[in-house]
Amino acid sequence: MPKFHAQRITDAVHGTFGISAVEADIISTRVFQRLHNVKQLGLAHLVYPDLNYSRFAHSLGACHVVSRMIRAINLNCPHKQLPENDHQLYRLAALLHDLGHYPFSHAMEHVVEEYYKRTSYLTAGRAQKIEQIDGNTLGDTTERAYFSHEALGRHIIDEDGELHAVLKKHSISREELKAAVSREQPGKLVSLVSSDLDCDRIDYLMRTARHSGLPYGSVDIEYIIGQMCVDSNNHVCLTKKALRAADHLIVSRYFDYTQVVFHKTVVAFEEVLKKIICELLERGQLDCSSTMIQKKINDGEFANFDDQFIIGKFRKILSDLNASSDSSLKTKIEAVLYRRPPKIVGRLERIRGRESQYRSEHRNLVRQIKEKINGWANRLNIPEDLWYVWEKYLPMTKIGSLVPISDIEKSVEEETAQGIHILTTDPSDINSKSRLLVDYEHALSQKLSLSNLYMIRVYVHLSESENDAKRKQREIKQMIRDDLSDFPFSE
Amino acid sequence: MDSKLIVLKLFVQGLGIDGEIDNFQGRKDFQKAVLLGQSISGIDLGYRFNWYLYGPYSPALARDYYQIAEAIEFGDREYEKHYLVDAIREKLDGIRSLFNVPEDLNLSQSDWLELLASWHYLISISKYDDKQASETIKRTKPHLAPYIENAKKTLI
Repeated sequence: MPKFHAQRITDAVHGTFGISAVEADIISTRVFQRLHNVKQLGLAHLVYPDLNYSRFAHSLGACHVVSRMIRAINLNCPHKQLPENDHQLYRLAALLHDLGHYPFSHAMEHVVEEYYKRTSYLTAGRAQKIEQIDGNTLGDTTERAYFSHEALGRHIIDEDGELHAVLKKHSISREELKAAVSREQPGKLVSLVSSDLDCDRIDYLMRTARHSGLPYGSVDIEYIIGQMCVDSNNHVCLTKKALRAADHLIVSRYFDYTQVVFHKTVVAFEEVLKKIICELLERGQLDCSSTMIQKKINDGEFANFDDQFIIGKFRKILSDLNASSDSSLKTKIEAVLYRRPPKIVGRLERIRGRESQYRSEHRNLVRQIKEKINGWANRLNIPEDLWYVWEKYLPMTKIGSLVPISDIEKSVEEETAQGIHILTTDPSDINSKSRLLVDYEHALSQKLSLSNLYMIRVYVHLSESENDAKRKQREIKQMIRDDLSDFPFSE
Repeated sequence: MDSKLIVLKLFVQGLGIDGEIDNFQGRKDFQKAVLLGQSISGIDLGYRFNWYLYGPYSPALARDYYQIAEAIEFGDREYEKHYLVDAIREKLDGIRSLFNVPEDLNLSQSDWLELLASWHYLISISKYDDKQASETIKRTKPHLAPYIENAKKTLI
């Protein structure tokens, strides 16, 4: 396939693979090079030192994986050969799927979304008119206060001059490219780049396992990719032979989440980061409005909007801070810059069913903790601002997270499209059908889909030196347990 | 309930949709209303839609309406303390009438929303021409195909 071997990339995860001429030109643009400095996993490298791979590497990996998926589908389903032009477009969709990611990725984007939706879209008083937010007047043609990373990726494709020149050189229209990146064309294989088994997740699992040193991503991905096919409804699915491997993938993903993404210290850093960004937005020391982002793109400055931009801002703000009045902000920024995470002083983690009684119980427990924070803060003379209550419940499988298993048959097709599908017929059957993996009684995933992992953690910044901090941490843990003697804390 | 969910709840209410998602009809209506509401009003809530087998759908939106439903189920009514800013409410008021089924059509509101959303998506987002869009509707939603002209007139 000479088209995809204009240049070669040597990658730690996939070895040596080729990219096409248009892909080589795209990755050379400043907006794509920016992704070298946007880490996939934010601050996780502060816990796993080698987990600092970039979205640049991951995007290239996803591009390579989608090609392998397409080749497998073409091999296994001779009646479903994908046109070559579509192959290039799927590769570009995979390559560019992270183009618009914010520095520190989802952590920052979540805070930005919350801030701008609260301040630009909501008012507490019915009569209050808000017409001017950050220079962006609602009623202008741009009716958004902020960009989601997906919308930002599309906007960059629309507006970036360097990228436009590359597309023009290779006779690819912006509309065609945006449609591929956004998966907006009926009849296309949406689930190649957006599902439980998409190229994004596959590269992520492999790359994270490699760079973290953890074994949880050591799934037989080669076999899984080799068993990919498409059913008559255009679901990307696996042959029956791959059911066990698919089960293993689901379990691996669960362990990846619990050991990496939700690692107690990774979460601690992420919560601190979110608080800092929120505070800087409130103070007007950081502007991520759509107006400002648009200006950065127009001025060519968007290429500098990366993790280092934010870290640089933190350093500047730290040096300018008035220590007496801004001690909380100083503590938080130093936590990120000098690796001083808040310490965990209370924890509950358990696996329970997905029924509403368990989710209600979880919410009540979270409320109990939150109601106590102010009292603990006063008692220990540690400002409330330096405490964090983090809670999450993690569905074991994606399909279960949206639609109760009992409702699968009554759900709309779209709701089940994201789950892993297993072919029930031969791949060469032109009327092939598939079932959800979680629908199989002998699939471990079915049992897992009935459960959630419920997690609650309490963190607090401690100013003491290392040894004293450990003692203080133990004291606070005991104080919390004494205060909430019926709370089912984990050991 | 965080601001994102409050905005979404009020947005759908502003379109005159009850937002109940305990059945798949309600969930379909929610999806189609947000697609149309975002696109026609120009107020971008950040939800992107893909075309699945039967029409446009946003997995991120689905996650959020399930979260809203759960929050309400457990007594969180934070959204009742907030309003959308006037500029947004006025825009939503202006398009609410589009969701009423024309009197001479024998269609449920749910089917009407589905037709409007699908036609709008195919023309405005997938950039299909009339012929391609009509063929797609006929293939995927044959029961709605007789009403394509009505949808076109409404969306002009």
